Amino acid sequence: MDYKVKVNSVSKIYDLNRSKLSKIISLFTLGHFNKEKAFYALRDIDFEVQAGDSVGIIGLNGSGKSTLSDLLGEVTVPSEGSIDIRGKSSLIAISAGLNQDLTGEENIRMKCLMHGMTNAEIKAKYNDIVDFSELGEYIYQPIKSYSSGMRSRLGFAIAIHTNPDVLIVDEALSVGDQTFADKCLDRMKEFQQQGKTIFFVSHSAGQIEKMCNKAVWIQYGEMKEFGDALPIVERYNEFINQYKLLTKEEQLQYKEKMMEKQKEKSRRAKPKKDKAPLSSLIPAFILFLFALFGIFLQIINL
Amino acid sequence: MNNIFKILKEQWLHRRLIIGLSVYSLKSQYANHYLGLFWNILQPAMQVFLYYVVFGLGLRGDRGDVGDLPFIVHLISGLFPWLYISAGINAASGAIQSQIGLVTKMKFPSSTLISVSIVNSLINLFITTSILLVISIIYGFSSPIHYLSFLYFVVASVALISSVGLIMSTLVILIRDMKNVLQNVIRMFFFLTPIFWSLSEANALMHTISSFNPVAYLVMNYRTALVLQEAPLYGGMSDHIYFWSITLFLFYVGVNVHYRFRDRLVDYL
Repeated sequence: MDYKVKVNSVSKIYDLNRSKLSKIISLFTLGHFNKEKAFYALRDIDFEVQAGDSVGIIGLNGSGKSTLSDLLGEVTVPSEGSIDIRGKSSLIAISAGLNQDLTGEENIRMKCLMHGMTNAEIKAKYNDIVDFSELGEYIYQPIKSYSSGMRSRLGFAIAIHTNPDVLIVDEALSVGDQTFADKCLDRMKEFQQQGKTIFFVSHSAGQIEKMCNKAVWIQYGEMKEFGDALPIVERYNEFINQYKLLTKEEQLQYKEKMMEKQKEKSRRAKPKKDKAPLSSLIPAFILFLFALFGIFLQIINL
Repeated sequence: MNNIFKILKEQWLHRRLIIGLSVYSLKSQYANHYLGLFWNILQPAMQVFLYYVVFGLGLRGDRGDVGDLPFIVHLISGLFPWLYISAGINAASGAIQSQIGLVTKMKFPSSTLISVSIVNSLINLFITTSILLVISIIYGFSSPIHYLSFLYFVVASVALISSVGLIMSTLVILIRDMKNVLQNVIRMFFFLTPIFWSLSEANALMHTISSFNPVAYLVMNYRTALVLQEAPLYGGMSDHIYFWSITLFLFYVGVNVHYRFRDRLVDYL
């Protein structure tokens, strides 16, 4: 079947327990002096999503939801595997790229520009954005005078009007009052009807039940389940309820045990090293010789 | 080598974005200012005044003109390109760090941020240069055809600033200390570059230092273009080869450092 987003055995590896200095050394030696202490924030995530699907991403804190949403929004790149997105994906980052000293109007134009819209497109969308943000006259004020609610309304209004094919919403709906959140949800539903793909990151099972037809359950870096939303959310709720029944200490112990497992697995894995081949240094070497030649010429000319 | 074409193509594809962003960054820089863009003239003017008093009237005393040039013109023609180069390198080096929230949260080619800062510096350069141009035309310091080599200065300086900017914009994020190192090195270069002193009157040692100083090469080219009667370009063949070989090498290193680091930005914060 034709897919919209294909996540192909994706892993994201972070370096743990490594000082900043050794990271920098590995960067400048092109990965040749590199003692990896890999930590798999995500491991072997595999799923395919069709156009028009809404996918909820659920999981406990620290399970890798945000890492996955960053990957889907193409803000970071996977360490292993690949993500194929047909179309433009957009991560709703409410406050990213807003300039405190500029007015709301200027911020709208600037952020739309950053999203790669042309001036004509911006002109066409501008009024919609202002209407959606409900800012009215405040749109001509510098946004440093905005309240946090106004700021997030503006950010959300812009993000939703950039016309992405794949939209990733990371806990963004927790801002603003109920009426605005409802309005955002309505707009999401419109997106769904237009056949766009939406990813919801949330730990609220209720919201996902309401909005999504598919769900991904991420548990300590691994994909526990992927499929239709309802059964998964049900099982997730069951899990959460059981988890809640534990005492505080048992909860902590459980978490630590799982983290230890995740680290243990990471240790056993042999991630392929991120080395640049030495042959890539040849042009640099030629240019270096040329620079030496320049210095040499200057010296004889003294 | 591919990376060099890739980065140039990236700038070309995002040219509208670069120009738009530089307009907005100018706007935000001078939001809430009464004098706005006028500060771009006022600030260098105040520096010229200060340096004229200290170096011209104080240090030089009554020695007066530098060659055929009044000292103040000599000073301006060195200080304007210097301010542009030093501010440009500073801004380009901090370009990614100052927008870190944007780069880590939006799909956004961070190399364009360096271009944005260079465009801003160029706008400043054009404003200050137009003042010098008027002075030069009125007093006839240079022949009009020479002004064309100002274009060469623009190309050469953009090449140097973007090379240093590409390297430093990455380094300042990895190693915070680099920002302080950079500022001190820049301050040092101010004194090692023939801005308020003149090559023609300087000790032989200063000649040697200048011939290895790419900033001196740029400043002297600017001076030659706008106020000197000499050949259209400053320096001999070895000076040109030296400057371009060094710049090309730095550019190559910068481009590769930038690409190697760019996608891993978050891992190194």
